[in-house]
Amino acid sequence: MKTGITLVASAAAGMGATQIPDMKKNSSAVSRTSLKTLRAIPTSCEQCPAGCGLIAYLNGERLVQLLGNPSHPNNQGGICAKGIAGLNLVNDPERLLFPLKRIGPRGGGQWSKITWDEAYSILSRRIEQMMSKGNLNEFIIDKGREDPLLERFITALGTAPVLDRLSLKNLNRDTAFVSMIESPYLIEDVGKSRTILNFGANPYANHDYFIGFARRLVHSRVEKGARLITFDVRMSETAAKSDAWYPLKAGTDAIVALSMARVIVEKGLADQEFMKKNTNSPLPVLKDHLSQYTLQKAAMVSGLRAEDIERLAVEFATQKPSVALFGGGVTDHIHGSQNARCIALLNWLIGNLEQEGGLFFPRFIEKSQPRAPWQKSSGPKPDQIKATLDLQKLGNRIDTYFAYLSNPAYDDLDCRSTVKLLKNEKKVPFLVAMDTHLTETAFLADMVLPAATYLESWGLKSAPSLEGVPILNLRQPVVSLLSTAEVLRLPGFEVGKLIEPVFRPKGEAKEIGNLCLELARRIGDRVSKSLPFKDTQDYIAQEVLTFPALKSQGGLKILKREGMWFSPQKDSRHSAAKYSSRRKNKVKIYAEAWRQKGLSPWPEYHPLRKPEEETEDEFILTTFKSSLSSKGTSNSKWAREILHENRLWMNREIAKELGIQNGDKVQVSSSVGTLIIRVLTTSRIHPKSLAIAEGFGHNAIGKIAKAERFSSSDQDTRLLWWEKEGPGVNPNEIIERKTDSIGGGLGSKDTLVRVKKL
Amino acid sequence: MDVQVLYNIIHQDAFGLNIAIYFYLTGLSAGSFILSTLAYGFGLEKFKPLGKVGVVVATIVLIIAPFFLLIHIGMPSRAWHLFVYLNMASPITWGSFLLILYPINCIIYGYFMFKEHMKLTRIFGFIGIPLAISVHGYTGFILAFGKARALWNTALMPILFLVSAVVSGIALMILVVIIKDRFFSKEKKIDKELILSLGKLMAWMIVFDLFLVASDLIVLSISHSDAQAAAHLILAGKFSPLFLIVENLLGKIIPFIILIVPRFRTLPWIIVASILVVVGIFFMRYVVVVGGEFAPLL
Amino acid sequence: MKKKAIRYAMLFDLRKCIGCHACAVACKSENNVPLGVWRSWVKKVEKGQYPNSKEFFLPLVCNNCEKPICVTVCPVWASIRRPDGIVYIDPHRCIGCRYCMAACPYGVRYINPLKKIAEKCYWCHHRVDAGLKPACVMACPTDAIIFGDLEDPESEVAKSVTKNAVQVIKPEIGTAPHTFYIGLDIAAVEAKQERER
Ligand SMILES: Nc1nc2c(c(=O)[nH]1)N[C@H]1C(S)=C(S)[C@@H](COP(=O)(O)OP(=O)(O)OC[C@H]3O[C@@H](n4cnc5c(=O)[nH]c(N)nc54)[C@H](O)[C@@H]3O)O[C@H]1N2
Ligand SMILES: Nc1nc2c(c(=O)[nH]1)N[C@H]1C(S)=C(S)[C@@H](COP(=O)(O)OP(=O)(O)OC[C@H]3O[C@@H](n4cnc5c(=O)[nH]c(N)nc54)[C@H](O)[C@@H]3O)O[C@H]1N2
Ligand code: SF4
Ligand code: SF4
Ligand code: SF4
Ligand code: SF4
Ligand code: SF4
Ligand SMILES: [Mo]
Repeated sequence: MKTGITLVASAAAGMGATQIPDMKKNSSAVSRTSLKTLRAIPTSCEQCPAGCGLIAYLNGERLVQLLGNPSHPNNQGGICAKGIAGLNLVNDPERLLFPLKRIGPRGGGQWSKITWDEAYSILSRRIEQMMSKGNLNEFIIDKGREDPLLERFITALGTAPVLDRLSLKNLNRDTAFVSMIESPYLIEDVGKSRTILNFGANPYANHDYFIGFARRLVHSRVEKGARLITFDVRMSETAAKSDAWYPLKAGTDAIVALSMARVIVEKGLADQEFMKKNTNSPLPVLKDHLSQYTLQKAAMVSGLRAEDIERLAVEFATQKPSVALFGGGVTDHIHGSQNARCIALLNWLIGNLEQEGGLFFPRFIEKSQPRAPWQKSSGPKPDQIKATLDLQKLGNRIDTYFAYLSNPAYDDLDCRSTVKLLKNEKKVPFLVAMDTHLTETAFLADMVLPAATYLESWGLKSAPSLEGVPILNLRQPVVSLLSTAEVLRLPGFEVGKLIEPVFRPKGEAKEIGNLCLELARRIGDRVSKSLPFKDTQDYIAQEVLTFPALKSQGGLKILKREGMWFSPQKDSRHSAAKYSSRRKNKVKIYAEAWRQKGLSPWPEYHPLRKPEEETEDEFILTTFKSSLSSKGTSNSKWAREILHENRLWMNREIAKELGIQNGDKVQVSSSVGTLIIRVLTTSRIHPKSLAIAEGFGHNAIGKIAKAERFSSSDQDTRLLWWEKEGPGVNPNEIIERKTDSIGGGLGSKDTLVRVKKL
Repeated sequence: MDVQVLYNIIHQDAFGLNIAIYFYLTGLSAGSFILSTLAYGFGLEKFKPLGKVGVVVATIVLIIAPFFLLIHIGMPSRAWHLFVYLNMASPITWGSFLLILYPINCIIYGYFMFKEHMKLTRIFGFIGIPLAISVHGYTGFILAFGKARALWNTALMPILFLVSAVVSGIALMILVVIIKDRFFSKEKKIDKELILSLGKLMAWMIVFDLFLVASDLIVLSISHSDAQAAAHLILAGKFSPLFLIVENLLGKIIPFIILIVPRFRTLPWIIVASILVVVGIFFMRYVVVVGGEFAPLL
Repeated sequence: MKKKAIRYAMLFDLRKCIGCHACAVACKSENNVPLGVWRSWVKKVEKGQYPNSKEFFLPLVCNNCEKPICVTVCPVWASIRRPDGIVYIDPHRCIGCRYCMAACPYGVRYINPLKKIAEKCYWCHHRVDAGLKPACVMACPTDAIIFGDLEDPESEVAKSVTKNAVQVIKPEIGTAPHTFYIGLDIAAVEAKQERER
């Protein structure tokens, strides 16, 4: 009954992936009714950047369960609620399954079905026209998801401007790290730390490495007695299960970190040798810079107590290994990149680079040309477009706007303005959306294309490894297994196909890769010679060949059986070779490049606004991601059943002062709009902050997302019971579209709002 | 200490209105039956006119009652399982037999009564009394087995149910006798004597009922926290209007006053009192069943 | 020495629970649990005054009690306690009378709105019988749920139950729950929600 996930499991045992004892989960399943063993296919999750290993269980042709892959070194069999609810994404009766063309006015909701052939011709004709006029920069590609064939397609086309949604959130972090270590990020080895300071990350409910990271944090805390200290404006899930929660005023993490740094330096607790040999800032100079950040000042600004800050600083510098990590709470601000540098400084002060229990460079699988891990630096591009509305600012004329798994009409900050722009046929003459659902953006489109989900498509990704062992994740289709008769009828039938299971996306949904290949064929040589593949599977097969070690170990075959592959390269993290001996480049605490650009070169604290400009009645509105809401779960019955309505978190004492009771409706207004929302009075938020979970309040996508009961092939949709509570609100309707002028990332947690009781 | 539930699941009520009605009807039936046996079983001549009315009402009401059970259960087509897979520890198993035996006995008892076969009537009357007591008493056990429900989980429950059954039975009898005498008898004359003695009987049963309710409440309100919460629910919480005003004030205390104050001992007032009791006891069942499972368990 | 009979038990290590609801969703999909009813869920409770606030996550399932009152009251033996301790409901026998629901002190039973019979968590016996862990145990990202044979001293659950101070919910009721907790806070158990009606 064991599946073939043995090779990797034994490999893991030899590579330190067993730091968490006794995974004791096996990867099989039985049918609840027939008790037959189910077919288990390993693949990987794409619902968030964590890229967990999954096992898909099939009962006959049907996908019936998704659980974690016990052999995957990152998630080690664990999975999050959304990961399981991926079933709802593929099996959703409201999924978009056919290409559609708008017939009524834009946004009128009237569609007619078209064939893929028609869709291809429309697209390729427009692209060819732009090409012939040399206007390819009028072809805008807005991507919510990475895809290598789309990447090749864009590169082959030439100058098409790209809006890369996934990188937006991390621009500030990446800018900060690149300015210091020429690598956009580092990985925190929390499974081996003893003291963990968490500034504004919530890995128990989201985060870039979500499940794998949460596992390690919990393991460290409970089994090994590590201390986890969380700074957050509200009690996140992580804060709730930390050893202490320090609620601070929003946007003040930097000054807290700087005053901690000052304590560490003044008390002589810094790692002198590392600072001298491996940074460009000798301690005396740094001490000078830090002298302005007294405990008293930090306490006054942040609202924390000076004693607490001091004690934590000492604990951090002495109870090692320690690590200071940060998340969106630090980076999603207009001074996000500076904030991030301040937290990073704490790590440098204790010599925290390539240290067990500290920080290490991400390890990636090597392709044919070996590279040092830190050479894989794709730092932020300063001229990146950050929002649909920026296109106007750039003065870009738009001919065709292609949104792939991206929903700017909902996700953009100040999205009401984005909607206005997308509705304007003069400014956006042709809007195409490729998505799994009729999203807010697709609803405004002129043509909508049905996208295959991650469970119906091929992909290959080197996920950031939490164990230092480079991993290559395979994504393979697990939905809609074809019967033998159907396989025989396939065009281009090959005998080999009869042995292996063949899958096809539901309805007429297509992988973006296959769309790019077909467009390339139609556009002709100029593009198609860069995309010499039959289909996505063929692309993956050829891509696998570029990893020599993998090729020699069985290539695609082994990948398909295991769902991933480890590089035989050893875990170099905990080996004797420390950062200092391996690298000449010093950590640039003082960023000369920034100085040259007229920016302040030191890690500094900048307030959101001058204290004298603050008024009594304003709050800082924070958005956060709940564990159940994300891209794939907007219309998921299981996720929405648990969490369907987002309320406005408000400190109970403040609410009392304002005469607001739990459940009351209030009006929240910012400079860009107002929202009406119900209040959750709570003791778990800073008095000057308000918080709204993002991912709610959809007015498109599907009836489940909109909290409407309906009849469908799924009996559950008739049982939807939260109509009265409703779908909540979309905070982006009132979030100002601010960005960090240095990093370029979004300042989505800096909107000032006022509240009025209704 | 500020405590707030942020997320929890409370499943739908297990029993609810249908079961409250079912309990109410079995109570009415048992009460009517017991009254009917006063004359034919115990030879209280005064109550002789109740005999036939009582058994007819008891039988009819008891034939209606199980329909509410059938509406309530999810799989009525499997009701036969109750007679095949017997769990003798379950009050419902007792009930399924009682629900068969009791109406059959009622019919036989009634048959002999109408045939004027006094001896057999008496025998089946005596057999019927424990059955009637059981048929309603078991519903009290059903609730009493609800371990975690403070309002249910008391040994008083069966006796409380029986006494209120008799109260409601008498009230119903009064109304039925009046209707029967007024519209269906040859003389069209109401037997006032009988009504008055029924009224007196009812008054004392109400006292007993109130005593039991009070005992229950007194113990509840000093018992464990869930019990105190239950007492609060019916004394000051969501169910207090139904419990205090409808069930006890309108349904018991006011009728009691009507029945014992000589000035009110007139037919119209007794009719009013009986109607109040019949309605009041229904809400007693409702408050116990629905109120009992109102508070979340976790 | 004779091998002792199997006695399954489940243990929630609340120190490890991150309140992610993965267990609840895994159960929905494993057991085809319709909307509106749950075999498992995660109760969340906040306590205290800012900034000394706390939040508790309390995953709840059927306790598969040693003395299950739900079994006592089931008139047709549709609810039975298997020798290994799993309290099981025979879907072909249940008449949907809801008595077990009324009697269970933990509110973990429900009537399946489509099948009209009683259901609850039964520790995924279809998986356990095949030698697998329950779906929620598999899903839990932090290994906060442990399942196994309490009579086998080598099992993780037996070791954890002996090593730690474990609690059960409402021990005073006398059903002898076999779902154990580490780090149970009484406030989380006792906090009640005002019901709207
Ligand atoms: N469940 C789920 N997981 C996800 C995603 C999802 O949508 N759902 N999305 C994925 C993606 S795309 C991303 S980018 C990551 C994002 O992961 P994060 O950026 O870590 O997540 P956020 O919820 O945006 O913010 C984290 C915390 O910052 C706090 N915060 C706000 N302002 C401040 C502040 O000024 N100071 C401090 N200290 N804290 C503050 C918030 O209260 C919140 O708890 O998550 C990934 N994982
Ligand atoms: N206020 C506020 N706004 C924010 C943020 C914030 O923190 N606060 N976070 C920002 C961040 S970090 C991000 S990353 C963006 C997210 O912004 P986007 O990337 O635009 O994310 P979504 O709209 O959530 O997802 C896009 C679409 O992908 C589809 N989809 C989901 N899963 C799959 C799949 O597996 N396959 C396929 N083919 N399609 C799928 C869904 O139908 C969805 O409509 O939002 C940003 N917006
Ligand atoms: S954390 Fe959840 S959503 Fe993200 S990859 Fe893992 S299972 Fe998928
Ligand atoms: S899956 Fe595990 S961590 Fe998540 S809520 Fe359930 S018990 Fe807690
Ligand atoms: S928790 Fe309730 S349903 Fe489960 S065994 Fe115990 S009494 Fe029965
Ligand atoms: S609902 Fe089913 S399992 Fe529960 S007591 Fe009735 S017959 Fe037994
Ligand atoms: S053991 Fe099985 S039935 Fe019980 S909660 Fe877990 S998944 Fe659901
Ligand atoms: Mo993101």
